[in-house]
Amino acid sequence: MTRYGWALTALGLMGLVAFGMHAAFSSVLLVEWEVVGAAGAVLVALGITLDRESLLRWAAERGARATAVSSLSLLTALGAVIALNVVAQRYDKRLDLTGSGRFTLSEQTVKVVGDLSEDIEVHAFFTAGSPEEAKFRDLMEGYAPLGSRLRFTFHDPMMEPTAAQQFKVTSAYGTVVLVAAGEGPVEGRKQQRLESNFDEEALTNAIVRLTSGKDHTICVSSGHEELDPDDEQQAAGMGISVLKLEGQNYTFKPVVLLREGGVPSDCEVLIVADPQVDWLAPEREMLAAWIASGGDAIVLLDPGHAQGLATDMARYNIAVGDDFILEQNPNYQLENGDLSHIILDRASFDFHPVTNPLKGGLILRVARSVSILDPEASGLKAQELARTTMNSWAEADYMDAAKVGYQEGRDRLGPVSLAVIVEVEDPSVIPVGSRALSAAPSERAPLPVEAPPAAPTPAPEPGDPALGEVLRGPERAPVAPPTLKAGAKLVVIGDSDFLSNELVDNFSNQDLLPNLLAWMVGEEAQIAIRPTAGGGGTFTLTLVQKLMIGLLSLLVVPGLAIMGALQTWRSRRSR
Amino acid sequence: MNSELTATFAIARRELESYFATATGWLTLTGFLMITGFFFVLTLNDYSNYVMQASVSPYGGEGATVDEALVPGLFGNWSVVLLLVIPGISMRIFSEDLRQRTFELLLSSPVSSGAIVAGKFLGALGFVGVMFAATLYQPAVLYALAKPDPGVLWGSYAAMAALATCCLGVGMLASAYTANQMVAFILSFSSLLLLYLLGWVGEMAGGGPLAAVGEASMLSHLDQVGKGLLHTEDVVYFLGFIGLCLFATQQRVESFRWR
Repeated sequence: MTRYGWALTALGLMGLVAFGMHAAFSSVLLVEWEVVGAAGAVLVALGITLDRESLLRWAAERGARATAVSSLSLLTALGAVIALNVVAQRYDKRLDLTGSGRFTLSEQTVKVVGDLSEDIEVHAFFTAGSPEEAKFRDLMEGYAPLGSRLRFTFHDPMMEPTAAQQFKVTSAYGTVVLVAAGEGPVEGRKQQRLESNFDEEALTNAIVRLTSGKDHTICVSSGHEELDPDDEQQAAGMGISVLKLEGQNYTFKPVVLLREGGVPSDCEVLIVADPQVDWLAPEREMLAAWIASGGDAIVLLDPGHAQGLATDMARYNIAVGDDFILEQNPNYQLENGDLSHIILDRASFDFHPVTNPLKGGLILRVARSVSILDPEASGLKAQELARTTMNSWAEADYMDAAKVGYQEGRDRLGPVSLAVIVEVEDPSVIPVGSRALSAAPSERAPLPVEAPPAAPTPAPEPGDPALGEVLRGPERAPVAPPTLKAGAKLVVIGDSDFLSNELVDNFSNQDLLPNLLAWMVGEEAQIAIRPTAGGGGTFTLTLVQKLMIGLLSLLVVPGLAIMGALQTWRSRRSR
Repeated sequence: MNSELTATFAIARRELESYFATATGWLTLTGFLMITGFFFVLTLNDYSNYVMQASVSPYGGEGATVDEALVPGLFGNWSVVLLLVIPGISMRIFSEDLRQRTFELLLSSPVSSGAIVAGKFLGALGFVGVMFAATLYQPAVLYALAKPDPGVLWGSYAAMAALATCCLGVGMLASAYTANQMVAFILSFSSLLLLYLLGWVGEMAGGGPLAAVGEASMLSHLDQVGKGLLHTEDVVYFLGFIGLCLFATQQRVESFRWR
């Protein structure tokens, strides 16, 4: 039995190590493992007892004491190194070695985070180990030492589906949710979200908005088969877009203009998302009155829908084409998509606070042209936001598949403008009807709600005589003259699919509506931070350069070392 | 103290010269230059093609800069090359003396075991330094083609140097345990491989206690330096790791005196 003492000791040690590992890595200490640990201790004690004579003999040998001291020293050194590493991890400092200061946060960020008076939870949803996660971790490490008010938590949406559901995370590429710290459900607390841009500027601005932003009411026009803001399931709904914005500081409210007698006064922005049934004349007048009185609006018009409303955009100096755009440039088409899928990138956008942050571009589907009617028009400052490539065209015969194809003189060759933004400098230039609608619904005169929608008329082009007709508006229904106020912002986009549940999580689509709303309510990026992305430029190699580098790397430099080897071999032989 | 230092440098010089006195040292250098040169050509070609594709794609341009797309990829290959090459350099540090029975002579000289270990380590480190210096044509080519951020480029070099030094420490310790160079090579290679794997275990774990295991790996401490971000925790890790290897080797060498 005595000769098996070492085996018992070894078995006991294995049991102890297994128990130790279980205790270290498991949150619950199971009884079975406690038994393993106890049995291991007993076996070690038994083994040492059985082996005590050989141990004593070893201890009496020369060097045994030195070996023991050496082992103890090594264990002590190992312990000291581990302890040092733990301390270094806790009090880690970092030094940015890059020439561009890529990892150094701006002074604005330092001030914003340093001045925080409330705690903020930052929940970062990234796939563990993804490059996006690594980048955000680097950024987070910069923020962490600035103050203890920010509390970062990383989640892998695949591993923590409950957390992803709780924070309404739908994107697979990363979402960062900032929540005001506090008790109770997350829904009841102030929130800000980052969906595709996770750089310092975006994060710091989200902090600023969370701590200082006021609540905004966004009205969504309904009653004309528009995209449903409450539908998060169907591909054609826009519920996901709304879901991401609700709880930030936006509240969405569906409105039926005819029922309300106009755009309600508590609305800050009116969204008209692809009405499939055309607007009636009084509704168009209500929109005009709203804009002339300083209200902001976002109008999304898909090809073939609400042609009356599309034509009416002329009064705001916007021409909405009765066409749809086809893109032939393969670099701006969706892979396996048809010509009606249009990708817009930075080269497609004009410089504007709304489009500047759209780093990932946009994808649109079946879009119509939207352009400035008269670039010289006074009182309405217009800017085209995005254009397609030179290889695209606006197809006029889109209702007849057999006729689809570029026809000179009939179709418009690219670049074709898709979105126009108008800032009203002089509201008096917007024609608004004169007959008043009654203020209270009970007193309101019967409105022609049953009347058929106005027959679609083609959009006037700049210089078209029809333009005057539109502006005079013979069929314009009268509304109360609005109190004119400059500063209204109107955006018209020839597509609404980018906002739909189906496409909103692609490219930077999810950022366009938040950018538009933030710009309209005056909460666009309040802090501008210079980009500190990787530098160094890019290069491509010519064939000669490739050959030269190949020769240098694979022949010249190793050849010198081979010559050294040969020289050594020869000199050793000659000795 | 002065004599200890003199002895240390004398041993270091002898060790360094010994690498160049045999064809093996030169061939190791040639092999290292061939492999890193091959990866350099391959990475540059891949990067050039990538940039060319990115230039015609609306979204490919993101992250295509030299600092983001080329330098990390280039030095990422080095860590694997060093895993193979460094044990080849370190395997002979003590094994050769043990095999030729010249180690007893060294021990009988009035030099402390610390000085012996430090001297041999510095000598081998000098050879690694020569290896690294012979690759300096690569940054020169990069500077000729683009303007890489010095922090990123030299940070990556520093990260590889730290990795090589750690590998050398492990290799030297392994070499002190056997007179057989091949056994020393296998011992150090497998130990280093295990340390590499610990890093991947940590990465796969994502978080929790297993991530702490990953912290023991050298790989998890290289990323940040390679990006041009120096963390004190990484400095402490590398110094601690090398110090521990040297101390363990010194204890092993000292044990020969007790016998």
